[in-house]
Amino acid sequence: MASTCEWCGALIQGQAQPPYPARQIPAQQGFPPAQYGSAPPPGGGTPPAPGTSGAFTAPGDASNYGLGQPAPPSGRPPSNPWYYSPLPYLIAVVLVLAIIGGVVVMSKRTPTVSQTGQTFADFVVNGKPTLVDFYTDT
Amino acid sequence: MAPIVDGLAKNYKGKVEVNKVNLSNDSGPAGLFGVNAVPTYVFLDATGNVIDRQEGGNPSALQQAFKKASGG
Repeated sequence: MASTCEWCGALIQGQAQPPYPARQIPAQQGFPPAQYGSAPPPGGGTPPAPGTSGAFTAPGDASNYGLGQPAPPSGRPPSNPWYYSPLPYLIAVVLVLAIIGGVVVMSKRTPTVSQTGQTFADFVVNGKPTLVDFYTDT
Repeated sequence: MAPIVDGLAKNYKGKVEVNKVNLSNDSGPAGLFGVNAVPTYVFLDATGNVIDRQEGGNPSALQQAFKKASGG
Protein backbone atom coordinates (compact mmCIF):
# COMPACT_ATOMS: atom_id res chain seq x y z
CA MET A 1 0.00 0.00 0.00
CA ALA A 2 1.52 3.30 -1.15
CA SER A 3 1.23 6.56 0.65
CA THR A 4 2.40 10.16 0.19
CA CYS A 5 4.70 12.24 2.27
CA GLU A 6 2.88 14.61 4.53
CA TRP A 7 5.44 17.36 3.87
CA CYS A 8 6.30 17.17 0.18
CA GLY A 9 3.50 15.09 -1.26
CA ALA A 10 5.92 12.63 -2.90
CA LEU A 11 4.84 9.12 -3.32
CA ILE A 12 6.43 6.84 -0.85
CA GLN A 13 7.30 3.47 -2.19
CA GLY A 14 7.18 0.38 -0.18
CA GLN A 15 5.07 -1.11 2.48
CA ALA A 16 3.62 1.44 4.79
CA GLN A 17 3.50 0.54 8.40
CA PRO A 18 0.03 -0.69 9.16
CA PRO A 19 -1.85 1.04 11.89
CA TYR A 20 -1.48 -0.48 15.24
CA PRO A 21 -3.43 -0.13 18.42
CA ALA A 22 -2.18 1.94 21.28
CA ARG A 23 -0.04 0.06 23.67
CA GLN A 24 -1.75 -0.59 26.91
CA ILE A 25 0.18 0.24 30.02
CA PRO A 26 -0.75 -2.29 32.65
CA ALA A 27 -2.16 -0.70 35.74
CA GLN A 28 0.01 -1.08 38.74
CA GLN A 29 -1.60 -3.39 41.17
CA GLY A 30 -0.73 -4.93 44.48
CA PHE A 31 1.98 -3.97 46.86
CA PRO A 32 5.31 -2.51 45.94
CA PRO A 33 8.22 -4.87 45.89
CA ALA A 34 9.89 -5.57 49.17
CA GLN A 35 12.80 -3.34 49.96
CA TYR A 36 13.88 -4.20 53.46
CA GLY A 37 13.24 -7.82 53.87
CA SER A 38 10.95 -10.55 52.85
CA ALA A 39 8.08 -10.46 55.25
CA PRO A 40 5.26 -12.76 54.17
CA PRO A 41 2.11 -11.19 52.82
CA PRO A 42 -0.67 -10.69 55.30
CA GLY A 43 -3.05 -13.50 55.69
CA GLY A 44 -6.54 -13.07 54.42
CA GLY A 45 -9.61 -12.91 56.52
CA THR A 46 -11.82 -15.93 56.85
CA PRO A 47 -15.55 -15.94 57.24
CA PRO A 48 -17.16 -17.78 60.12
CA ALA A 49 -18.08 -21.37 59.67
CA PRO A 50 -21.57 -21.94 58.25
CA GLY A 51 -24.20 -22.23 60.94
CA THR A 52 -22.14 -20.50 63.59
CA SER A 53 -22.31 -17.00 64.93
CA GLY A 54 -18.60 -16.52 65.00
CA ALA A 55 -17.02 -13.39 63.75
CA PHE A 56 -14.92 -12.93 60.75
CA THR A 57 -11.27 -13.43 61.24
CA ALA A 58 -9.50 -10.20 60.51
CA PRO A 59 -6.84 -10.33 57.88
CA GLY A 60 -3.26 -9.74 58.79
CA ASP A 61 -1.91 -6.29 59.08
CA ALA A 62 -0.56 -5.22 55.77
CA SER A 63 0.62 -1.83 56.89
CA ASN A 64 4.23 -2.85 56.85
CA TYR A 65 4.03 -5.39 54.12
CA GLY A 66 7.18 -5.38 52.11
CA LEU A 67 9.14 -3.61 54.79
CA GLY A 68 9.55 -6.46 57.18
CA GLN A 69 9.80 -6.17 60.90
CA PRO A 70 12.30 -3.64 62.24
CA ALA A 71 15.37 -5.35 63.45
CA PRO A 72 15.65 -5.40 67.24
CA PRO A 73 18.68 -3.62 68.69
CA SER A 74 21.47 -6.04 68.89
CA GLY A 75 24.82 -6.01 70.57
CA ARG A 76 25.81 -3.98 73.59
CA PRO A 77 23.77 -0.92 74.50
CA PRO A 78 25.49 2.42 74.11
CA SER A 79 28.16 3.23 76.66
CA ASN A 80 26.63 6.63 77.42
CA PRO A 81 26.30 6.85 81.22
CA TRP A 82 23.11 8.90 80.85
CA TYR A 83 21.57 5.74 79.51
CA TYR A 84 21.92 3.81 82.73
CA SER A 85 21.64 6.04 85.79
CA PRO A 86 19.83 9.19 86.95
CA LEU A 87 23.00 10.20 88.76
CA PRO A 88 24.28 12.45 85.97
CA TYR A 89 20.92 14.20 85.93
CA LEU A 90 21.09 14.74 89.67
CA ILE A 91 24.63 16.10 89.39
CA ALA A 92 23.54 18.47 86.65
CA VAL A 93 20.60 19.71 88.74
CA VAL A 94 22.81 20.24 91.78
CA LEU A 95 25.34 22.15 89.73
CA VAL A 96 22.68 24.41 88.25
CA LEU A 97 21.19 25.09 91.68
CA ALA A 98 24.62 25.83 93.10
CA ILE A 99 25.35 28.31 90.33
CA ILE A 100 22.00 30.04 90.79
CA GLY A 101 22.47 30.17 94.55
CA GLY A 102 25.94 31.61 94.16
CA VAL A 103 24.70 34.32 91.86
CA VAL A 104 21.89 35.24 94.26
CA VAL A 105 24.20 35.33 97.27
CA MET A 106 26.80 37.41 95.48
CA SER A 107 24.19 39.86 94.26
CA LYS A 108 22.78 40.39 97.77
CA ARG A 109 26.06 40.45 99.58
CA THR A 110 27.11 43.90 100.68
CA PRO A 111 30.82 44.49 100.57
CA THR A 112 32.40 45.48 103.87
CA VAL A 113 35.19 47.38 102.15
CA SER A 114 34.62 49.77 99.29
CA GLN A 115 36.76 49.96 96.20
CA THR A 116 38.56 52.89 97.76
CA GLY A 117 39.32 50.91 100.90
CA GLN A 118 36.70 52.56 103.06
CA THR A 119 34.87 50.60 105.73
CA PHE A 120 31.78 51.29 107.78
CA ALA A 121 33.95 52.40 110.68
CA ASP A 122 35.39 55.17 108.52
CA PHE A 123 31.98 56.85 108.54
CA VAL A 124 31.74 56.97 112.32
CA VAL A 125 32.21 60.51 113.60
CA ASN A 126 33.95 61.24 116.90
CA GLY A 127 33.62 57.62 118.01
CA LYS A 128 29.91 58.04 118.60
CA PRO A 129 26.81 56.51 117.03
CA THR A 130 26.50 58.13 113.67
CA LEU A 131 23.75 58.68 111.19
CA VAL A 132 25.10 58.43 107.66
CA ASP A 133 22.83 60.54 105.51
CA PHE A 134 23.16 59.69 101.83
CA TYR A 135 21.88 62.31 99.45
CA THR A 136 22.45 63.72 96.00
CA ASP A 137 22.42 67.22 94.60
CA THR A 138 19.44 66.55 92.36
CA MET B 1 14.01 65.82 105.05
CA ALA B 2 17.16 67.91 105.53
CA PRO B 3 15.56 70.28 108.08
CA ILE B 4 14.19 67.33 110.01
CA VAL B 5 17.58 65.66 110.11
CA ASP B 6 19.19 68.91 111.20
CA GLY B 7 16.64 69.32 113.97
CA LEU B 8 17.13 65.79 115.24
CA ALA B 9 20.90 66.21 115.09
CA LYS B 10 20.56 69.29 117.24
CA ASN B 11 18.33 67.50 119.73
CA TYR B 12 20.72 64.55 120.02
CA LYS B 13 23.90 66.56 119.89
CA GLY B 14 26.72 64.82 121.73
CA LYS B 15 24.91 61.48 121.50
CA VAL B 16 24.43 60.91 117.80
CA GLU B 17 26.61 62.40 115.11
CA VAL B 18 25.50 63.03 111.55
CA ASN B 19 27.71 62.30 108.58
CA LYS B 20 26.27 63.62 105.34
CA VAL B 21 27.53 61.89 102.24
CA ASN B 22 26.91 63.46 98.85
CA LEU B 23 26.75 60.62 96.35
CA SER B 24 26.93 63.09 93.48
CA ASN B 25 30.57 63.68 94.34
CA ASP B 26 31.56 60.15 95.27
CA SER B 27 29.47 57.08 94.56
CA GLY B 28 31.91 54.74 96.27
CA PRO B 29 30.08 54.73 99.62
CA ALA B 30 26.86 53.81 97.81
CA GLY B 31 28.41 50.54 96.78
CA LEU B 32 29.80 49.96 100.23
CA PHE B 33 26.46 50.50 101.95
CA GLY B 34 24.34 49.11 99.12
CA VAL B 35 22.49 52.36 98.61
CA ASN B 36 20.07 52.16 95.72
CA ALA B 37 17.91 55.19 96.47
CA VAL B 38 18.08 58.52 98.19
CA PRO B 39 17.49 59.55 100.80
CA THR B 40 18.95 56.60 102.65
CA TYR B 41 19.82 56.75 106.33
CA VAL B 42 22.20 54.26 107.89
CA PHE B 43 22.80 54.33 111.61
CA LEU B 44 26.15 53.05 112.81
CA ASP B 45 27.18 52.33 116.36
CA ALA B 46 30.46 53.63 117.72
CA THR B 47 32.39 50.72 116.23
CA GLY B 48 30.87 50.94 112.77
CA ASN B 49 28.22 48.24 112.94
CA VAL B 50 24.94 48.95 111.20
CA ILE B 51 22.18 49.23 113.79
CA ASP B 52 19.42 50.67 111.63
CA ARG B 53 18.69 51.53 108.06
CA GLN B 54 15.93 53.51 106.40
CA GLU B 55 15.13 54.44 102.85
CA GLY B 56 12.86 57.35 102.01
CA GLY B 57 11.60 60.17 104.14
CA ASN B 58 9.80 59.04 107.28
CA PRO B 59 10.29 61.60 110.06
CA SER B 60 8.75 59.53 112.84
CA ALA B 61 10.80 56.45 111.93
CA LEU B 62 13.90 58.62 111.76
CA GLN B 63 13.18 60.02 115.19
CA GLN B 64 12.80 56.50 116.60
CA ALA B 65 16.08 55.53 115.02
CA PHE B 66 17.82 58.53 116.62
CA LYS B 67 16.41 57.51 119.96
CA LYS B 68 17.54 53.92 119.48
CA ALA B 69 21.03 54.97 118.37
CA SER B 70 21.46 57.26 121.34
CA GLY B 71 20.68 54.41 123.69
CA GLY B 72 17.60 56.09 124.95
